[in-house]
Amino acid sequence: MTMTIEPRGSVASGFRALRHGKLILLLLLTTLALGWIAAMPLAAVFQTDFTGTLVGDHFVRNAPSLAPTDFVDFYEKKADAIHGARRTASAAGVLGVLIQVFFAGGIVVVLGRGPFSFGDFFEPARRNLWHNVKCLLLFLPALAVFVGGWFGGALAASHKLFEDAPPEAASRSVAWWATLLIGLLLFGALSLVYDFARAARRYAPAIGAFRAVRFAWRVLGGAWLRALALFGFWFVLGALVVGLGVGAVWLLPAVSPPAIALLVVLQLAALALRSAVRVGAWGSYLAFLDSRAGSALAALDARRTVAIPAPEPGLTFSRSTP
Amino acid sequence: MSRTPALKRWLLAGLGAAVLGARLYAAPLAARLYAATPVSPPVIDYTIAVSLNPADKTLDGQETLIWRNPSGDAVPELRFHLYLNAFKNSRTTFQRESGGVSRGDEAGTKPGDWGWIDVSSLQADGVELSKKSRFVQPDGNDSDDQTVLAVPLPTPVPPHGSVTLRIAFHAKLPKVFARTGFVRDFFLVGQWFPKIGVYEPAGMRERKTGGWNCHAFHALSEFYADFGRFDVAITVPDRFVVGATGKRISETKSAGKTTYRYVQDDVHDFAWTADPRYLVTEFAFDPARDVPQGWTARASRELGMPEAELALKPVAVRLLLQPGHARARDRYVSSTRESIAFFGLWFGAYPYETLTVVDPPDDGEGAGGMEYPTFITGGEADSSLTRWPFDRVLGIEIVTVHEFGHQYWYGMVGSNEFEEPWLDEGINDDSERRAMALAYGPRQRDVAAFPGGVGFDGMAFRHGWYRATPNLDPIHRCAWCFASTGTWGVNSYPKVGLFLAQLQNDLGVETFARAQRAYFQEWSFRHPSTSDFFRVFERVSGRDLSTYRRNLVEGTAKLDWRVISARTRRERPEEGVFDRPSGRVTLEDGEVVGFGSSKTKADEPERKKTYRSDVLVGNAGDWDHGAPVRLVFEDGRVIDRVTPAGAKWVRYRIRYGSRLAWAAVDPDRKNAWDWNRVNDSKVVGTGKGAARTLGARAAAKYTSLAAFFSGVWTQILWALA
Repeated sequence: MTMTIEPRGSVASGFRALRHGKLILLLLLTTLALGWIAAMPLAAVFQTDFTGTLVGDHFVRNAPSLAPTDFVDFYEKKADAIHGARRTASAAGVLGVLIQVFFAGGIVVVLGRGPFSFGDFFEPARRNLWHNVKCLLLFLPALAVFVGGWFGGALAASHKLFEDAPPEAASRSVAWWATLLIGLLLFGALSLVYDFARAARRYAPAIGAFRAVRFAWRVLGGAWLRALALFGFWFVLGALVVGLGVGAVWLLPAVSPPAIALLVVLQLAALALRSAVRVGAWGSYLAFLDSRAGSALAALDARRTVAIPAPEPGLTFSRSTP
Repeated sequence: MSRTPALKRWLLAGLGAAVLGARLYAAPLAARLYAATPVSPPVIDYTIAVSLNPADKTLDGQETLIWRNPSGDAVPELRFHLYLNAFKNSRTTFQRESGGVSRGDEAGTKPGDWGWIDVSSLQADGVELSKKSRFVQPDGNDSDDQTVLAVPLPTPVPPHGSVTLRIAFHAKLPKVFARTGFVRDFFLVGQWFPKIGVYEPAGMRERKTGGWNCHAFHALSEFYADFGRFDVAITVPDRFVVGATGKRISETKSAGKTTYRYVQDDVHDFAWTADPRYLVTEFAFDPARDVPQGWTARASRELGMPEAELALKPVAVRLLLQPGHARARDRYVSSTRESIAFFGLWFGAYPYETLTVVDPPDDGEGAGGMEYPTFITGGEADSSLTRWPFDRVLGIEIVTVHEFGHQYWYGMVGSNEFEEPWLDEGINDDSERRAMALAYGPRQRDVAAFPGGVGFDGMAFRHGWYRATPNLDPIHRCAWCFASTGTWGVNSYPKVGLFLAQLQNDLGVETFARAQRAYFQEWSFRHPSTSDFFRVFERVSGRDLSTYRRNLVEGTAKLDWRVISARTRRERPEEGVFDRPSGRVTLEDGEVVGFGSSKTKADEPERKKTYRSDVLVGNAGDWDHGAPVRLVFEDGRVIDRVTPAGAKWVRYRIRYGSRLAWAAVDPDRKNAWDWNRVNDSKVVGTGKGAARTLGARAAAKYTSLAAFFSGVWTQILWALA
């Protein structure tokens, strides 16, 4: 396998990463599998009740309003199944997080380095799994402390400070937006540290979680603004994709079989686009890191590796100069 | 009590009784509603001067009350409501029952948040009575409760006599809690003065003997008082904008303060508000301009009355808006006009000259959504709710229509909100739904008309609430007697709407409309009971409605018609030896295989396929009420039937040349009271058996949607972790 390092800007690299259709397909199929697992408790219920009574008829003809009276009675009658489906979806979501932690280990090694096989992908994914889990265990409490603490503290302070200010006072609005913005920035910063800590294994395959966090911190030093801009770009893009996808899927009346088929296609497209955004974001982050990783590692006094991992036997490397 | 000689007192009392009686029974109903002079029996006459002290949130008041005994009893004691004492401490009946939380507010979060009222002087005909007065707990409620004051009189008030009282009081308003109070410089002043209770004579509301109906202030109760006149002078610092019940007749400035005087006849309560920040909008309801097209004709048709008899009166409306809610102005204006039009056309013209609509601040919403005579508080005008896409949520309109509706149900039809909350809240809830449907279409509840038409219609909302709440209590129950806040809510609001919708469907739109109008007309400015409601409806409809009362209003009966089974199969062909006109034949699998005569096989007529369909419908509920049934066959034929009266189940057997496609009971949802719609139908088989139904498609569509949304959830978690 020949690995190449290509010159690139961060955003452009992100879009270039979308050429890895197999990776996007992997994320999409994983999402679909998890989604179907969660939908299974309801599938049997829908089959029995919708085909056995006129409820399904009413739902479809009244979409997207779900024929409210039927919806209420169906929800009451099938509360157990719906509750089960919700819990399954929650569990599937948690499983999904663990799966993406696994995938991230492979993504950070292979992305932006030319074509790769699934073998090239899954080996580093397996190797980096525990490292990524440790990074997650550092990230989640930090999120609770810093972001949760920020929102909790800011809201409590606002309540006290603006007790006598009228509801429409500009100061209240400013405080609310500032709280939200800073909270988002805090989340973005923590998210970047988390992702970059995982990506440290791209440059130092044996680096531990705590050193990886220090690596991420050093990489971001002096470039926070640019990094947060990258984060914001992909975050907003992803949110837009989800929002538009959900809106389109929900609002499409879809009564005829062709319309229902179109609905399914829209669903797949929305999930595929969201998966692509995830891959694109990684591509951007790794391009951002590639130009800074060396100096950050040197500063950590970690054993410097070449910008690419040690070659497998039989592999050759070439490096194209800018 | 008067100092005139005893004989003269009794003569005056007799004259008063004659006048009272004449006014009660002799005045034509139309004149009672549209006359400018007082038309109700004037039991009470309040003259109050009150001063607001904004710094310490207190009121100082001087009240003169003339109370006219409406009964033939000599009344030795008076009873007063001191509602503000419900907010005095954590041990009042209201606080204990509510757990200190009401309408989204928490009581007493700071020492200055409590409220109370002290009567420093109470004189009857010059005799000081405050020292002999005592707090009583008429409902067997908490001994700490001070919301009812009993005042023994030195001399009883003679039958149909009167007594004049002079009362001095000092009150502290609570921070907005349970409809009343302050937040910053916003004041909503309701239930703020010593208010005399209602002395019900024998025969009124089924009473066997006369007595006071003056309950403690419970967490779930509202109010009950007699009709009469209010003349109130409100003094506030100049910077305040004031709104109140009634018509403002004078405004006097002196030493940095302004005194506003308001007068209103034919009402049983008085509320007011003050806030320096109000944006004032004054507009009129003009009957010639503001009645939506087609409404008069529709009302005329439903009521069977000529349009000329549905004439409405102009109303001067004053809207007091919060500065941050300017976007809500037009919505308040249009919904107020629509309300005046609807209620006036269907029940009777709004008789008062004025209406004040108050928009509370976002942090004072506990004072919103409330009704007082000629004075309502709105709500849900938060700036975030008046911007796209939430401006499509019709919260402002629903609250305005609902609170205006209370001018009729409670304001003019003065039912007892303590003992029969359904008579005002429930009937008004139904009227609100009908008004909203007329003005904004059927899908108007809360989440209305988002792109794509996502919305709930009013009936579905009520049905959902009914289903979601344990069916522990009947509709007719005193407010504090319900098992929980939840059962109080469902029985006071949506179940009444479902009951009235059921009644309307069964009686017909026109009969129902006429009966309800008659109920309003006959009981305006009086105090009806549940029995009075049913008496009017039975008289106008000509039907015995006892089953509705017994099962739906006084009981907890359910109605649940369902399709228990539906089958269709090809009828087994004839087999064996048959004597036909053409001779004896032997049939095997429906085909002729032998003859007992010279006739040939060709002479035998062809036997078409016949199907035997069997449908069993049953009522799993305990209310004995029928339902329509519809059977639809694959060839498109439709058979409609109605279950016989009193049937608990009915089996339909049909021999027909086509398979049964589906069967449904109450397919057009005429039985609003039906508990469960999911079991109302059965689709027979799949494919051709489900002719023209879309169940299979629905199953596929919603399964894929469930999978999709679950996938989206996974993707969102990926983005966050």
